[in-house]
Amino acid sequence: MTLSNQSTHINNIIRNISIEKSLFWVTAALMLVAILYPASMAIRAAFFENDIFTLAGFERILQLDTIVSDIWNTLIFSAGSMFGATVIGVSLAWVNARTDVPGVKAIEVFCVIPFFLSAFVGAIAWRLLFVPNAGMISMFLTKYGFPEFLLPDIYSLGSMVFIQSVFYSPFMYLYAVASFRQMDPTLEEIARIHGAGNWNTLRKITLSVNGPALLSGMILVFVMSVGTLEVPMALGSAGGNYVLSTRIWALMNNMPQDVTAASALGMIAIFIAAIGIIIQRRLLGNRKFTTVTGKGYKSKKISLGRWKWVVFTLAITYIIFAVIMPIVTLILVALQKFWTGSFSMQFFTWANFTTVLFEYDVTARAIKNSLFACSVAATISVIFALILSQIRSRNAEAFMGMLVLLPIVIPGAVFGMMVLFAFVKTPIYNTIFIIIFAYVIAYFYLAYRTIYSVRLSIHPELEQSARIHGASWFQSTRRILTPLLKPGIVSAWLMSFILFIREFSSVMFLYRHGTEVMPVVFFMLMERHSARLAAFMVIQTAILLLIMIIYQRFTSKNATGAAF
Amino acid sequence: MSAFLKVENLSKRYGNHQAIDNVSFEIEEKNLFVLLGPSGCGKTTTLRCIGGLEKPDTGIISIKNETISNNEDQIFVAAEKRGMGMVAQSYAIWPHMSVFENIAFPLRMSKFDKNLLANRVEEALDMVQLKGLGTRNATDLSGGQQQRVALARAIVGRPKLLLFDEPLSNLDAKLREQMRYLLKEIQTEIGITAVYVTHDQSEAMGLGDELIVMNNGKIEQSDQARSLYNNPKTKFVGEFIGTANMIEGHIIQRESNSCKITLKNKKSEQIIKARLSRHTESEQGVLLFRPEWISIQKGIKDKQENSIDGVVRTYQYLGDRSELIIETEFADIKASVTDDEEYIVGDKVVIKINENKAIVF
Repeated sequence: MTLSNQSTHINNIIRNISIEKSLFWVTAALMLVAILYPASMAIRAAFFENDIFTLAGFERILQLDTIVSDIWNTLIFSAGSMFGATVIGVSLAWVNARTDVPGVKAIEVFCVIPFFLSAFVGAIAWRLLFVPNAGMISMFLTKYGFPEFLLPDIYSLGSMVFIQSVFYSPFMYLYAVASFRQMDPTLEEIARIHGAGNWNTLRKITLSVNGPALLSGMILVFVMSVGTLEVPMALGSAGGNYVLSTRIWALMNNMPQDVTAASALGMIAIFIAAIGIIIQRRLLGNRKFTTVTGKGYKSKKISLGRWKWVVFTLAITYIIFAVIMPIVTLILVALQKFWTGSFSMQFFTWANFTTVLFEYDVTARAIKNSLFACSVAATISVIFALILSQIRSRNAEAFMGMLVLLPIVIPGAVFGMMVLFAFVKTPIYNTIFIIIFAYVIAYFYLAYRTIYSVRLSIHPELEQSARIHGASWFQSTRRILTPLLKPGIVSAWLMSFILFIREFSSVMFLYRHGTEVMPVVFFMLMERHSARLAAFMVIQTAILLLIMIIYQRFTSKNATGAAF
Repeated sequence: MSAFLKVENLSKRYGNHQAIDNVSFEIEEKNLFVLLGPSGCGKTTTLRCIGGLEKPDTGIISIKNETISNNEDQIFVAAEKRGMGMVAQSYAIWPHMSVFENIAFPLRMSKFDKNLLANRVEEALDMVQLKGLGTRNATDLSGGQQQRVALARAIVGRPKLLLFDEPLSNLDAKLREQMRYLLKEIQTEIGITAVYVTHDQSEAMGLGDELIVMNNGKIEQSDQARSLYNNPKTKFVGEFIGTANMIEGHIIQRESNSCKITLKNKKSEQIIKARLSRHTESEQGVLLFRPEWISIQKGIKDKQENSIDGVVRTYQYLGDRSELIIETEFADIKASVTDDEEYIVGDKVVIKINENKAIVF
């Protein structure tokens, strides 16, 4: 190779690097605009009417006689669910990660299923069990003399908190279990040796060391609960317990529509979420515990002794509440001509399934729409994540870390409204692409983190040597990086797809006639036809479980890091 | 005087693996006692049984005649009730606490007088030469400093017994040596009894008042460093401690403490006189001698007693001594000599083995 040849070769590399860089920054800027533009439109909607600055929206919501109770309910619901989910999720994580409870592997799989089921499906199933006079359990109990006034009120705020806690606990579980597994068990053992009993070790060491991870999970559950429409719509609205998200939805969808007031309420919801985040930051300070791990001893599981079966029973109880009972209930209801509160062979029918699959055009269309929108959105997410996880520079990585977290702090219902405002005057407004847009932006952190973590584990020299040996940036990305990233790509795609399919809160603002996705149809069927609703939910659950099985098969073969 | 710590017939099994197999030993008060052996020999499990982190299958552990673990009587005092201190291989510094809080932890757990607590912690910090670092974030310290914090934390509560689980193996060589001196100094200064687990024989010999060499869950030999080196009781100990040359042969003449062994190959044979280890009964034997248990003479001499002819293959001059590898008919022999003779590769030499030191197993 001559000298000039070599220098053009080096020039090529430099030019390629700048292509790589500009591609990164262009995509990152696009993402940023895609987040900030809707947000700015929502702020504008809250403070402007007919292009004139006004506080009328805030004035109008202050005049609502429900405003205090809406805010109060939101606080109770979100904080209550956060603590409930933490207690359930952290306990299950501790049991699975650190104790010798029997059947850990099976319990582990079941612990994350409730999250994929979606809280809306769970809430509907529980409603079918406990609805006054027609609930399967409530009828069964009253039949055998259980006093009616002792039955739980499924529409109450307490029930909402309980069900939200059960179905959002997998989030806490995933955060906590990863953190517990990473912790050096010697940290606990040394505490024991120096005089700390079980309780002190758990409190002062285990929970404190894992505190930052647990706090991150908690704040996520809090913000998600502030913005969710799932449980508040399935249970709250019927019981008259409105929260901010359901009130925003009502203001946007009831006549007369009040966009300004809805946006103003959205600002309040963001404010509540922000307070949560500020409290978390305060508690966290600048502590970011890098766990020092020894190379010696493998994690020793705590022997539960005779408590083993008690703990096992508790874990199984959770699984029954969160997985088995909802699914069984939905299947039973789906197989009935109409739902009377108990299953009888007399009314057995497959018709609900055939109706929602083939006859009823909205449901059939929704399945198609969901599969299309979720596949396209998952593919876009993965491509963007691939581009954005390419760059290895401190600034770029810090910027990305912040960028992907931005949408997470916006409550889901408010986010849906924002996206609506951003596109309301464009042709996209009436298409399914507005939903695809929302999917990609809302859950982008997941695809990004999954691919980024795999990317981190690939040594840069692998690509550098490809480049030195004459491959262009595009060639080395295609031939070296992409195959190595394949496990990350597949799991990011599947995980995104699962989350998109079950996304409820934001799409409730974005569908039009013809662009309904599956969760929207749940809502439409909710008050009309329990049996068809159940059948449709069973179909969605089946799709989700199928993908989950593929996902678990895949990730167990290719040990990729979890994205949470 | 009866022993301070007594371990009797301790056994522990994990599935099919016998981690400790009927181990017994005693430790005198204020001694530093080393458990030495290759990884997987059961030394760490033994330590963890003493600390209460592991429950033995059988056996009795007692401190000052007070039983803390006895399976037959169903006694198992919990780790936190044994009043011990421990330094772990991974430092195990709690990342959410300051240096001060890390060290104060054992005192807080034992409800130590709050007015005296700060003084006590400062005193411990001073002892490990980290004075003034109490307010620092524990994880901001270097590895060596973290290990000092771990040491301060282990001694601050004046525990009955101090446990060390390979405390220096994560440090680099220079720090390791520094810490070794500091550790020994502190242990003698506060007069504490300690059990120290390591796989590093120089660390073990430098620190231990008394050593146990373990292998496959069993005790091979319990002795002082000097005896382990000079009078290994098993082939394993001879090989594990220090460097050893080993040549197989045939024992031909036995006396109470010595024997003659024939080293054979196709061409020739050589009779060597050496000490006889009591354990050997079969005709097959192994001659073991250390590199400095021989002397070397240049040139071909007439056949001498206890000598082997050889050719220098490598020669390294190290200042205080020279190290050679000498090729002989029976084996390549490592030699370490302090004479000032200069050797050239290819030199013919005669190796004379010291019959009062070499051992046949």
